[in-house]
Amino acid sequence: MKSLTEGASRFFRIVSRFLPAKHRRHILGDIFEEYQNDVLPRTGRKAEFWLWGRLVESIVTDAALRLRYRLSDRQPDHGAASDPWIKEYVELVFVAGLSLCRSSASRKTRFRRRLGADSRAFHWNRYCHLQRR
Amino acid sequence: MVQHRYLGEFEQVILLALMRLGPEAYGVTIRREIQERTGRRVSLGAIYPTMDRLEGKGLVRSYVGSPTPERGGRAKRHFRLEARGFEALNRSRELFAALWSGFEPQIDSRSE
Repeated sequence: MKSLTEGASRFFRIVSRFLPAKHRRHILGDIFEEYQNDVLPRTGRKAEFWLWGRLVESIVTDAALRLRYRLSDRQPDHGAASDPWIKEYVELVFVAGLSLCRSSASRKTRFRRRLGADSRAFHWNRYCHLQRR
Repeated sequence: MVQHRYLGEFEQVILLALMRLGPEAYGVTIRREIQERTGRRVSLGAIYPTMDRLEGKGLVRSYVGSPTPERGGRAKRHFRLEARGFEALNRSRELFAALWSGFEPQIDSRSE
C-alpha cells in the first residue's frame, strides 16, 4: 500500500485530476494522512477500497457543492447580478450556438450544392440519353 | 442601514470548528472535529469549496504549511478565522437567540 501514497498508481493519479487544481495536493494529502494513520492499520487489504471511495467522494462532493454555491450566488440577495460567471456562461452558450448554426449552415450549403450538381448531372445525362434516342 | 448576510448552516459549523481548533485547523482535523461534535460525516470535498467561499467573503484566511511524509510529501492547508468571521458568527448567534427567545418553556414541555 505504500506505493499508493508515495508514488500513487497511475490510474489513481489520473482520476485525482478531477479534483480542483487549487486544492488537489491538499485534498490528496489529507486523504493519505487519514489513510496512513487511521485506515491502513485498521483495515489492511480493504484500505485500498477506502482510498478510492474517499477520492471519488471528494471529487463528487466538491463538484456538487461548487455548483450549488455558484447557483446560490446567482440569487439577487447575494449580489451576484454582476457575477462574471453568468457572463462567461452566456458567452459560452452564444458561441457554441453560433458555431453550431455555422456548421449546420455550411453542411446545408454543401448538401444543396451537391444536390444541385447531382441534379444537373442527372438532367444532362437524361438529355443526352434522349438525344441519342 | 447596513444589511448583513447571515451564514449558512454548514458555514457556521465550519467556522465554529475553526474557532475550536485554532492553529491546528486543516482538512483532516476540521473533518474529525465536526464528526466528533455533531456525529455528522463530512467529506473533504465539502470542506474546501466552503473554505474558498468563506475566504472570498473575508471570514477565513488560509496558508500553506510544511509537507509531511505521512501525506506523501504534500503540504497542509491551514485555515484561520478572521475578525470578520468572528463577527459573522456572533451575528448568526444573536439572530437565533432573538428568534428563539420566549420559546424555551414550550420547547421544554414538548420535548418531555
